[in-house]
Amino acid sequence: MKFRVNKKQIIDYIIRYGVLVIFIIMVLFFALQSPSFVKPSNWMNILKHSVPISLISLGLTFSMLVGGLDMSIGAIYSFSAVICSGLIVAGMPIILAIISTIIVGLFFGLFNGFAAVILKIPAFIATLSTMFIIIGLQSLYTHGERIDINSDTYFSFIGRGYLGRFLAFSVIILLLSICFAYFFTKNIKTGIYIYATGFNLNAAITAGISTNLIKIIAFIICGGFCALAGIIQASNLSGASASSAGISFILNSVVAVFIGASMFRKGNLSIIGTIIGSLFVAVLTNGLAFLEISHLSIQGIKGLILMIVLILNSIGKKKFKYHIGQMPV
Amino acid sequence: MGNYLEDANKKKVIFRNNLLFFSKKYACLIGILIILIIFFVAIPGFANISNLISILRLISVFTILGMGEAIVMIMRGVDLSIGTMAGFCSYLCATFLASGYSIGMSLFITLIIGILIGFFNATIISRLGINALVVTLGTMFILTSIAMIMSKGGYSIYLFGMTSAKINIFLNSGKYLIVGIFPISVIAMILVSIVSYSLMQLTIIGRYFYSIGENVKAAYLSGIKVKPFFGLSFLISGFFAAIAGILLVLGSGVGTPPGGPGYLLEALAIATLSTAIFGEGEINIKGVFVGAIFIGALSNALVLIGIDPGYEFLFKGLIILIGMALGTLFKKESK
Repeated sequence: MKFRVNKKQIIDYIIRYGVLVIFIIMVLFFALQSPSFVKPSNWMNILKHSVPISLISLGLTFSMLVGGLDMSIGAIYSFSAVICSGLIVAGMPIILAIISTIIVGLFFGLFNGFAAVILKIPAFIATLSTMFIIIGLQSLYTHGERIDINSDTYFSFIGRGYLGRFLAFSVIILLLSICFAYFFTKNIKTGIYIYATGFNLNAAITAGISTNLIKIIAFIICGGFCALAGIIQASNLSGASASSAGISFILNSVVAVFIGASMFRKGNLSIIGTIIGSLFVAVLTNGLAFLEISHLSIQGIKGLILMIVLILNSIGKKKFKYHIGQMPV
Repeated sequence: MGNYLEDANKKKVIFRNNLLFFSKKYACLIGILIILIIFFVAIPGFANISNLISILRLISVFTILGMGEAIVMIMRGVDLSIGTMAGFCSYLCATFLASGYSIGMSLFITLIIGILIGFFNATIISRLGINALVVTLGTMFILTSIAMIMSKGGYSIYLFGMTSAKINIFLNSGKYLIVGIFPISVIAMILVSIVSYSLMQLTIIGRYFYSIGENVKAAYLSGIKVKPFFGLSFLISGFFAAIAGILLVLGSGVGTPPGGPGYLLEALAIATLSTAIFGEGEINIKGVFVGAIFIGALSNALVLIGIDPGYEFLFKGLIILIGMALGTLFKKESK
């Protein structure tokens, strides 16, 4: 019997599982380099550290589903960490502080949506200007100084607390968020409309979906997730500083989302894919830290991985000759 | 009688239309002029000769970066790596000079490297059809990392401490002033502006660029080779970024490895502001020139006032937003 190789199928497999193979090789490599990498406690640690990245990537998935890469995610994230710590230091009850921080995040999402959808500014320019505005606000609020939260065990429980001996509380928040995002996009009308708007805008309009509203909702959800991530990070570090703001944090989430997109259904975004992508990024960050590589070259490595994933994604896609990588209108 | 009234109405309508047209076309320009005059009068030290020279230096870097970004954005691409590229090229140029290459050689290599980075972007973006936004984001971080590794953690190269004849000539040419006020980088700015204006407005290539930006499918079907032309814009932006990087070294005598987006905010602000300045609703080279003057003066003024640096981000972010909103408004009207 002749063994027939279908070229198209092989390419398909490479695209779908190429990243997974890289992931496994990476884990093996890190494990060989430093034995403490594979300890269960380190894995919980990785999970715990992946919480902010995963939450932001979830938010980014929503905004990218409706066709806009939200550049302000990193800024919203770090600004909400600052605001949350500031409010708690000012003496606000923790619950109120958390709620108002999330409202701030939702508001910035609304602002993004308003600028992108109502004012019809291209989404990335609108969100980029939001990013710079937020960086400005943050610098005005903190004057470049760190805000420290002292002696608040309840608040630090959110980021650093453990249920039992092993399970971190922030991981539970992440799991709940994943469940929310998954069921929201699968079972709830608004979430399904988000997918519909992203896949085929004209069809969605024809089907009677008010796509403008849906787009704005997606941006708002994105802002909310970023605010949640900011709160967890503030609790993790028991305080916040303005230094982590801006464009550098976008890279993590963009890498995560595109890795996720490469794994399932050939380049389509999905919640589960995004989560796997964020785990990938978290493991990479942790492993490179074990190898004692400075964090500035980590960014470059992530940039390279982003390129590889993008190229892998583009191989299998059917394209017209005039697809040249322009921004969507 | 009725005829007279009709005439009066007609005149009124014509007058109103003219006023609308005039305000659309020149309102932004007049606003910018007024702000500049306020800077001149109200801020002590702004109209100082030495300050004006430093503003001109800043403006020439901004103009060149803005031109590069504008040419890419006219085709609905975007180059997020442009600020980092400029920083990277300035660091490279300083490194070459410090390690003993001749001036011409080090400038030449820097320009070639700028074009090569642009070529890298262009290949991935236009050849494979991957979204320009994400690719240039990746390039930005890769460049930052390479610069950090090269500089062993971000140490700048200070050229003015070195006692080499070549470096002294280089630094002195940076200090040289034409007619007592124009630093030599203004020549580069004017050259780049003329080249990009004539490229975009007078040559067939510019026509192709505009048509690709307007409707890529139509451009493809009418026989334009869209991929090479789209890639060319990234080469141009890389080349311009390298020129800007050289000007940065020339102005300061320091090669600082890029630690982030660099002048990206300014480049984007200038490119988006140009949509509003002449009321065209689209990115245009004239607007970039005016926008660069405005943004350069604004940056300097904010420093002179001694305002919290947070406001700088705030203002420039708002300028991008307002400029783009006005631009899209004008565009909608004109259609």
